[in-house]
Amino acid sequence: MIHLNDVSITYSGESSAVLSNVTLTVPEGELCLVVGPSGSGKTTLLRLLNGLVPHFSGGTLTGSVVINGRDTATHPPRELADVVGFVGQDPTAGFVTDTVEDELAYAMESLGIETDVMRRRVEETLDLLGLTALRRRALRSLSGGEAQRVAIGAALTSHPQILVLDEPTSALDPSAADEVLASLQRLVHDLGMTVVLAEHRLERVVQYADRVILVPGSGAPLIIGEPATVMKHSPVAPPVVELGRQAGWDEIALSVRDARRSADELRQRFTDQPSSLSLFTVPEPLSEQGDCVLALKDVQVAYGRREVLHGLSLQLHAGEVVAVMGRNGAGKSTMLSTMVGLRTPFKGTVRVLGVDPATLKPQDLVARIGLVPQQAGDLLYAESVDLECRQTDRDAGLAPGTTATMLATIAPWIKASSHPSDLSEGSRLALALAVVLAPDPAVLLLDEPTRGLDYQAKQHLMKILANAAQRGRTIVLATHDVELAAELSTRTVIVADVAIAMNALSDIP
Amino acid sequence: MNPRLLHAGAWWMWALGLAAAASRTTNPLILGLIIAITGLVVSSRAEKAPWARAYSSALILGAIVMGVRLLFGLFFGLALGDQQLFALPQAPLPSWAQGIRIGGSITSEQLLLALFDGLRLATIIVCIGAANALSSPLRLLKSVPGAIYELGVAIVVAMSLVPTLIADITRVREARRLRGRTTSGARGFLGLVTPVLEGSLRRSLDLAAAMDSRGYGRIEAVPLRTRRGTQGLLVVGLMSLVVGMYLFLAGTGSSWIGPVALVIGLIAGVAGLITTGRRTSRSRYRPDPWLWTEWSVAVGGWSAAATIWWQMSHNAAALEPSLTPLQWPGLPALPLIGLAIATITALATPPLPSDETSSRVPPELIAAEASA
Repeated sequence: MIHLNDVSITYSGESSAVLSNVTLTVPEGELCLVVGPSGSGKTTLLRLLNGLVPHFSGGTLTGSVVINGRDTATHPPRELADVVGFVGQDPTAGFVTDTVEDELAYAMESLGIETDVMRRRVEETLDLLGLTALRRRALRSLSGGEAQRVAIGAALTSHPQILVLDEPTSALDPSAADEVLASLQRLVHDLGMTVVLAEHRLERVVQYADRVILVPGSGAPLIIGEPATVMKHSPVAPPVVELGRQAGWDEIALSVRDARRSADELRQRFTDQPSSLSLFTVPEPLSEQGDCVLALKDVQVAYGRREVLHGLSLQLHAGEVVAVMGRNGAGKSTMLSTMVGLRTPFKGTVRVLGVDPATLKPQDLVARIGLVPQQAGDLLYAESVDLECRQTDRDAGLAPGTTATMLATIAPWIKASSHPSDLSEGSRLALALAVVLAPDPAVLLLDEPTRGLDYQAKQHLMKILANAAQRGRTIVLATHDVELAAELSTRTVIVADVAIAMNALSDIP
Repeated sequence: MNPRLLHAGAWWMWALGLAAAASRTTNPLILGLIIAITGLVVSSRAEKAPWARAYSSALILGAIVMGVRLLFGLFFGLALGDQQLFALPQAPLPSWAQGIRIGGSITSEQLLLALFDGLRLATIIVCIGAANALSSPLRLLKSVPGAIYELGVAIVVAMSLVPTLIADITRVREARRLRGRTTSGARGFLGLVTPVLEGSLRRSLDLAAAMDSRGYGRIEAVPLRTRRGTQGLLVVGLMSLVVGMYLFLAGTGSSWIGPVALVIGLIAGVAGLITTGRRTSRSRYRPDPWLWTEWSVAVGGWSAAATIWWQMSHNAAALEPSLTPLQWPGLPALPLIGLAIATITALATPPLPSDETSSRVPPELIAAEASA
């Protein structure tokens, strides 16, 4: 089905190859998982499969990529559209039409499929992915999970033999991610489709994979094999694999269920000798003791006529780490932007250290409260990391070099001369964090900070945040990442149906 | 009437009709009415979507164009009228440049001439803006003939850039505030340019890649002779269309060449499009229906143009307010009727569906299809 023969790819202007001498065969009906640190070339590998590399990316390709008998050297992506369905990292970026049904039909229209066949396939796909209720919805009104499923559906209707997905669950809440993965499972099992997907969050998918392709990065050879074998030595591994390694199991457990079954002996050991497995020292919950730094009182926010937050009251104290959780579209991001004064509530008050953030001058704002938005790159726009740091010092009225020092403690590996948009996802987040942390705000808000981060980058982020909390800073994390919330937060706020459904200390079950 | 979205072509026809009407008059009352009508219709029939901002952008652009036209009218151009308002220093010009002036005395006639002419341009721009706001560019694309589909996509992608640019500006401004940087003033504005352009470029590339991956631009092999023939047809068609349109709109030249050229152009163009269309094997999923409402809207828009043309051939003076001597412009009855028809047909369309039930196809039609 997929044959890569001695493929090397070098992007123009770069001295070394992203992938070199890749030889790979994926047989029909396999679910193939591509893993690797961020920036290692996973996306490049996926885009090779339908010819987007090199037809769209430029660069030099040697060797041959043959998909179902067609060589991508002579077949551009459009000529492979009936064989390979491709779903990119950001589903909304690839939407061509404006309603769900039209989007599902788009690829079929391009392929010139008969009208009645199109009708039938649209219905099938709506059922397969549970999209029936959404069929007439405008694409722009979909939540992240729904958009992702529509994007997958849109790739499926042309009945490709191969489905390629780039991080299909990274933007989704756990239940939406499960839905998407379950749909993929069905495609592999029921339709015999070959699925190749890249993921950062392996804990959800690795147990379903038939084969794992590890892309170590910097042109090193790929490691291909059975999930359990590859995972044993993979630099990126989910916590459950990490546990298996530390416990010294021969047979690495890939799912929590398997791990529980092999953990009898381990459990025994810990009952005898209790110790904490936690990697960091997170401050004790002191919610009611510290000073109140951020107070929301009966806040109501609406976009147009749609109410996004209703009657939100919340008090945050110094040194707290608060995880804000909830489904896609529950109002988490809105809550954060309201806290920082970007959205003005039509009712209720927001007070940061006793002041309404919307009335503050930008310079005074950053000294009190900082927000790292979901797209951390939005905060960055200088030509180089060094300029970015100096600009921050000037904007926030800091002593020259403050931001650079902050960056050096957070991410010493970032070169001052590199361009922010060339950095890997993790490094870009680190830079954005340094920019926001430099004025030392009392409150730090992070929107979905672990999206697209590999395990190492995430560990590093957690350390930085734990440190800040220990210095008495208040941290608010809007996240789907249960692990992050569990490791770090002292309090959890769950937002559901435009209001707070739960507000409790994290330790309480 | 059940809520539904109209065929995008209907709104374009309607707005182009009004634009054609505006192009033939400098009467500020008629032009003002046209702008008011588009505003009214956009406010009640445009979706709450990014492209609806096209209308307000068009208003701003129109104002800028008017301003520029006014400046040129004041500083350059012919000397006109005798009601001097004030005088500017005049640059002396050699005798062969007689009749042209730079600076000099400014009369109210000149001022009004520039103002009315600017208003005409602005009205045309606002009409196009209204068409953009009333119909999703993506829906328009669905109805583009197969032959020029790819060209259509390029235009649509470019057009949808403007509204997303505006959304981007908001996002980048917010990010700047989070960085502690000022967002107002000229420096604030300059700081927006690079990130916004970078972002839109990246998005366009993403979209292009996604479309290509989904088979956009697949073509079938066509014999060389057919291809040559098609090209010939298209070139001839386009040229005679251009000539015919010019003669028709400019109202000059002999009476029969214009219409004949138009007809030849249309026939050759349609034939060319059909043969080119064979090259792509696109099929249509549930094409947008064109029902009587669409007809009424399209005809309504062009009835405004038709009444203006009628007025022009009978009493053209009413369409161009007299400047020498200065007179308050009158409002001729006939164009008023045309504008009223355009307004009524546009407002008599079905109401907008909400985001949740967004649908182009009327429910009756779906039911009929299901039972068939």
